[in-house]
Amino acid sequence: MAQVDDLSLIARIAQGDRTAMAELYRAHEASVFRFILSKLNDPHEAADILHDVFIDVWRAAGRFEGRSKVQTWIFSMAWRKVVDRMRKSGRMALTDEPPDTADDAPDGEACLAAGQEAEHVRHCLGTLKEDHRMAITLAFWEDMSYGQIAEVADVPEGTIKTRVFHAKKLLLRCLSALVDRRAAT
Amino acid sequence: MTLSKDDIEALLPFYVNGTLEPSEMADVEAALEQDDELRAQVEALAAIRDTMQADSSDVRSPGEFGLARLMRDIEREEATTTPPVQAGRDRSLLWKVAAGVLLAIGVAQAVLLSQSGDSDFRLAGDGGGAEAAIVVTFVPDASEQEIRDLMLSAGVEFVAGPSALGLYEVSNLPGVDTDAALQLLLAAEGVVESAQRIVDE
Repeated sequence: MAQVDDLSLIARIAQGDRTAMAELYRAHEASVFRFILSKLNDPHEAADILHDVFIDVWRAAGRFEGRSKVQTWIFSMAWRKVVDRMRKSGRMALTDEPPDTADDAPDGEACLAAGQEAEHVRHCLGTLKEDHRMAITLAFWEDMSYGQIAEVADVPEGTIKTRVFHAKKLLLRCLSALVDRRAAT
Repeated sequence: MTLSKDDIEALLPFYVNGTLEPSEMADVEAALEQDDELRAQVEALAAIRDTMQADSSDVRSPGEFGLARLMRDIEREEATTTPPVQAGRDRSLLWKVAAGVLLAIGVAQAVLLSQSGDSDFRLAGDGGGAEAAIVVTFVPDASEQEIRDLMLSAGVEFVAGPSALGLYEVSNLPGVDTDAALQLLLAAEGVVESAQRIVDE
């Protein structure tokens, strides 16, 4: 959905227009849910957070100042909720330390057996640290710029470039390793 | 080219998703022309992006069920609270304006009271005298002057308020028709947000 459409929807939502709320939900629900699910891996938990995000959109639409894209604003709310949830449950340790290697050992053989590229990519994404995976998924799923991703994560743009740089290297290394193993079998 | 190879590599995912600024795009393209390894990375990243986007189409989101849940909760919330906060419509401003109006009226009435010695005089907002005929809310941006002028022209005075929701009760002055006053209030769109006649039970 174009940004101008999103902005007009937000303006209408700020006036209490539920039809606009439904339009905005339908436009972004699937991508926001996919993003949340990729972090939590629990559809029920992801659905709850998605719900909370859009409730917050309803409540805060009047305070949206238009300094960022509506999509970026929604994803930043989702990301904050995901981080809170993961921290509370002890599932997340955010760090900007670049990992030396991606751990492709545990499920590598399963991926090779499946012989599917999507499986390979999913597996290798799963080996990345959370903040690195977040950056690369927003870049490739949502086609966000590094500036937008920086807004979502509330970090400097340089940090996102660094995260994506490491994420890309590890992803390519992991996939190369899987392809090499497949070639060897 | 002013960027290092690491800088260029960091930009490659954003070159692939088409979100680079024109100057960055030019830097990356210049680097790609000279570096086979970078071109191979671009091809691999494009394939990863395509794979991720195709793979994610299988995700089952809450869809219309989620929307129904959302609308149900919004409805519940609306039943118990005020509407969403609106940009630039500061409720505290309304309270300040209302306080100013009430203060101004109070001062004027106190002066009249001291001059006339009328022991039956009643201050606006005490809710103890004239019967309220209309309930009214003002737009947050309305000035004290606008509200005062409107009250005078409509021939009404404050009786009670504001309530927690910002509602004021007003009564029409002697000789002023309630419906006529209501129509004048409703016509003042830039000052009055809502006005409704109070129906006797």
